[in-house]
Amino acid sequence: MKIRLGRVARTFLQDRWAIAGAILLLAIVALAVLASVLTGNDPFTIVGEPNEPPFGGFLLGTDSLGRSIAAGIAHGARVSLAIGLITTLISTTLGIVIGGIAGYFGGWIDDVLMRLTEFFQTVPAMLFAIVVVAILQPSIVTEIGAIALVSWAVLARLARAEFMRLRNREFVIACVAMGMKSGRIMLLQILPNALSAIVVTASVTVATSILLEAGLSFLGLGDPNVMSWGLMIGSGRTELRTAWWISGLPGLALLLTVLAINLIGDGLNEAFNPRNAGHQP
Amino acid sequence: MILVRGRGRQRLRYAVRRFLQAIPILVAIVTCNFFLLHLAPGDAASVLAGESGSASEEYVAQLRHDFGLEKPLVLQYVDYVANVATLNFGHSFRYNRSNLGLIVERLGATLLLMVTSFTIAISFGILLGAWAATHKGKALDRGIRILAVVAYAAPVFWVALMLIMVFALQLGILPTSGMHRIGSRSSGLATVLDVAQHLILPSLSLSFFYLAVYTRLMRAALLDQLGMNYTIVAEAKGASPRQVLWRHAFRNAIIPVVTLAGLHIGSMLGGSVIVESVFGWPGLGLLAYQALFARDLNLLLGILIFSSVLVVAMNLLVDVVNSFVDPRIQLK
Repeated sequence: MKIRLGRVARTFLQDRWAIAGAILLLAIVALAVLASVLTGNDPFTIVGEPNEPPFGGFLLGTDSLGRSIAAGIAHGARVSLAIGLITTLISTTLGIVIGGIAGYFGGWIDDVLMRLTEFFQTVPAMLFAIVVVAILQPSIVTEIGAIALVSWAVLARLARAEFMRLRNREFVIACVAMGMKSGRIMLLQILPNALSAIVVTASVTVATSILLEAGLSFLGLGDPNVMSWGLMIGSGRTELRTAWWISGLPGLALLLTVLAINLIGDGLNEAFNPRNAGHQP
Repeated sequence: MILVRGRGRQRLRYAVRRFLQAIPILVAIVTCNFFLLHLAPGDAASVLAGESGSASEEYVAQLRHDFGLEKPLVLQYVDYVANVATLNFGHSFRYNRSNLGLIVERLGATLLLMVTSFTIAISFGILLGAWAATHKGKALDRGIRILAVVAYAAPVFWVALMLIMVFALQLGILPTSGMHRIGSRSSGLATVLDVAQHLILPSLSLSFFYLAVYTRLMRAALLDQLGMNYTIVAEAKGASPRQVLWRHAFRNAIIPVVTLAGLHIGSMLGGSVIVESVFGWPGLGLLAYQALFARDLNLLLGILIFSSVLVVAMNLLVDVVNSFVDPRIQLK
């Protein structure tokens, strides 16, 4: 049951779509890392006339205040990727801890934790995140907290199912019989075997977190001092008739980022869980 | 006959049990709201009213009294639960009306939007998925799959804005926002047509993502079914490929699609906040957006509780209806 990383890598590398996604994501990461070098330190600087169309004086035009769209997109990539990664790390850890404990111990612990998980799956995620950020004041930290809070439940369910499946396997029972502590068994024996399924779902969670962050910023719940794609798209709403690029281009960047991550996620899924991929009878 | 009657009683017991299971979730939602209010800096009254700026002294005093802030925390909690349980969601200072009244008034528009979006997403998702599956590997299949992958990644607010730009601003064939033409005094069929025209872009925007999900799922499910033994047997017994597809595989393939759609009710309700705020569609989502801007947190919390209850109720309904439709569902 050990994951054969060689086989996984090979399957992944044979998947043209996954490779395309990986290259696209690498390009976006490069853009984020080199944002300051390519477009200057401050995307809020006014560089020219307002509402300049793309491919004029500025590569991707300017917004209604005369700020460069290209600079905004490059700096926004940082925010999107960072928030996507950090929230996924938090929600995945939370999901593994809660789901793992529920699945391993079962009984009333499982009941209580699963009711908690069900609760977080029932409350409309976007609305819940909006309320949390609105009450705790919009900032990067509250945004991250709110997004992690509404995303961990799916991962907890998955971790629980995996831990339950592996709980009664011989190698786990052997560890119990040897007197190994529950915590060690969960961390060192079960988790490595459950990781392949969790990694696949976590990769998709990065994409949904990025979308959630953009949605919050779009509604004006982002940090107003940080340039993000959602903020740009929201600020271009009123200029749609005359300057579509203010909303259009950051949205395109967002779409491409989410697309790239999803393609990688699909590729990982086929590589890690080949029996789910095809339809062999 | 006895078997049938036994199943009827089982079904009733199942419905009751599912209903009882929903209660802890409802309690959790109310509890969570309560703690959110107390997590915020300052006491609940200043959070609810202080930031609003426009709230009067009396309103703050009224809030302090409503929340019983002078009482111990446990009693405050009991009061809060009792209030929500009796459908008392408090009072909105922005509208100077009861929150529940505001919410119920906006519910219809949101339900209309959601039902339309679900109908579009499910019917076209099933159609496109089946179309792709029956042309597996061909150009049509590839085209539909690419379309689905792109639609799956498209942010809903961006889709909404781009649809407005193309169909409302450039082509000018559909209205940009609202639910009725301004100053319209029409009635009957004219009103229905007017609303329908305003409904097209919001429901397309909201359904876009789900359309992609159902297309992908339908394609996979139908291919799964077509590879199963029973379809092979049906074919061996002389059923035409068309019969096998539509009468056998298709029926089984739509089950996971409809089940997943049931789970998407809450997520779509969240999406409607964005879509309604972009299109000015006068539903719960727009109300939440307006409450957000007015810093009317009491109303916002009311909407959150109400929506959660709505999701619980709809999930319950879907489960119980499913147990009637699909006899394989275990009622234990």
